[in-house]
Amino acid sequence: MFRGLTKLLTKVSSKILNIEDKTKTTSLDNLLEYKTINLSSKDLDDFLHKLRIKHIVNHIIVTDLDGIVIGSTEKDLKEGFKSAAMYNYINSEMKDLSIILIESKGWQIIFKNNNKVYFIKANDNLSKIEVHALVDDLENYLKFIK
Amino acid sequence: MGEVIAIVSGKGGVGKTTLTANLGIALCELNKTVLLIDADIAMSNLSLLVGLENPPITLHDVLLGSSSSQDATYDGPNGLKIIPSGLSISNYQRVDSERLVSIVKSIYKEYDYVLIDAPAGIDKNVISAMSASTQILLITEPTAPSVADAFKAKIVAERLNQRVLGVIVNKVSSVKGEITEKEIMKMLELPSYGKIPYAEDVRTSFLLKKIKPVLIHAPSSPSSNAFRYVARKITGLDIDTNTKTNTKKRKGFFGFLKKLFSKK
Repeated sequence: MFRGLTKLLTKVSSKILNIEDKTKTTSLDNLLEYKTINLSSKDLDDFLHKLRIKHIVNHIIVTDLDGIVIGSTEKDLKEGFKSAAMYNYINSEMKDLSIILIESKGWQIIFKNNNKVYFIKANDNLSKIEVHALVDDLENYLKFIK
Repeated sequence: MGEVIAIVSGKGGVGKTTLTANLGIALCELNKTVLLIDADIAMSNLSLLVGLENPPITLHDVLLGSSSSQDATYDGPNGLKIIPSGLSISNYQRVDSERLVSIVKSIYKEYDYVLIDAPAGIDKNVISAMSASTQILLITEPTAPSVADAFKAKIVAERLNQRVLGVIVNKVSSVKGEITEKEIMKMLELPSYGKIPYAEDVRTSFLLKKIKPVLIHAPSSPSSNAFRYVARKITGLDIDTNTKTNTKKRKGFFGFLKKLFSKK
C-alpha cells in the first residue's frame, strides 16, 4: 500500500514540478551529447580542425594552383604541394575534371574550386555533395577573413 | 513560391511515404500546386499509395538521362503531380542519385511545393534528397530508436548546411513508455510541426483493394485532420481548431486528473 502511495505521490509531484521521466531517454544520452559544431574561429588552422570534425573527414589541405599551402590539418606541408602537382598533372591529361578520386591509404579527393586545390582525405562513402558542402564552408570562411 | 521539402526520418517504416502522400493532398486542398518525388530509388512505394500502377517512365529514367522529368510526371489524386521511382533493381544500381539536385532545380519553380520522399538511412541517396531540397522535415515515431535515427539525420542535414524546419511525431498512441512530443522537441532542438495519431484508418488505407491515402479513404478521421494541420503549419496559415488532432478535452476535476496522468 505504501509503495502504491509513494508511486502516486512521486507521479503527482513530478507532474506539478515538471520533472521529466528520464528513463526513456537514457539510451539516447551518448547521441544527444553531440552538439552542433560552431565553426566560428579567427584562426584558420582551428577552423580547419573544426571543419574536419563537422564533415567527418580525416584531413583537409588547401593550396593555390602552384601548391602553396593556404591551410592544412596535416603537419607535413609537402602533402599540399604534392596534391596541387597531382591535380595539375591529371588535369593536363584529362581536361575539365570536376573531381579526382585516388585510392591510396584510404581515399584522397582532389577538387578544384575558385583557383584553389582542395585535397581531402576521407573514407570512401563521402559523396560529391558532401565535398561541395565542405568547400562552401571554407570558401565562406576565407571570404569572411579577407 | 517553389519550396522544396524533403521528408526524412533516418529509420525506416516511420511513415515518410504516408506523410508525403497525405501532406501533398492536404496542400492541394489549400489550392497549392504540389509535386511529389519518390526519391526512395531502391524501395519505392509512393506510386502504389497514390494509385499509380506500373508507370512506364520513372525517376530512374530521368536520373539515367534517358527521359525528361516532364515525361516522368503523372497525375495523382486531387490535382497532385507525381514523379514515381522505378521498381527495377538493375536500374537502381545504375542511377546516379546525385543528379536529383539538378533535376529538382530545373522544375521546382513550376510548383508551390515539391515534396521529396527520402529513403531511410543516411547514405548517399538520402544526402541527394536532402541536398535537392530547400528545407527538411523530420518525421519520427515516439520511440527511442526512431528519435535516435532522426537525430542522426538532423546531424547529416547540418553537415550539408540544410535548414531543418521541424519534426513531426507519427504513430502517437499515448501508451506508457512513449517519448512525448515535448521531449522530442527538446532532444532534437526543433519545433513540432504536428503529431499524427496512431490510427487504424491509416493502416486500413493500405489494405484496400486499391490503396488510397487516408485523406481520401477517411477524410474526416483524426489522422486526416492531423495531416491537414501539418499542411496549414507549413503554409503559415492559421491553425483551424477543426484540424487539431487531439480528441475532445474533458473539463473539470476529471479532466484535470486525466491531464495529470496522461502520457502526452
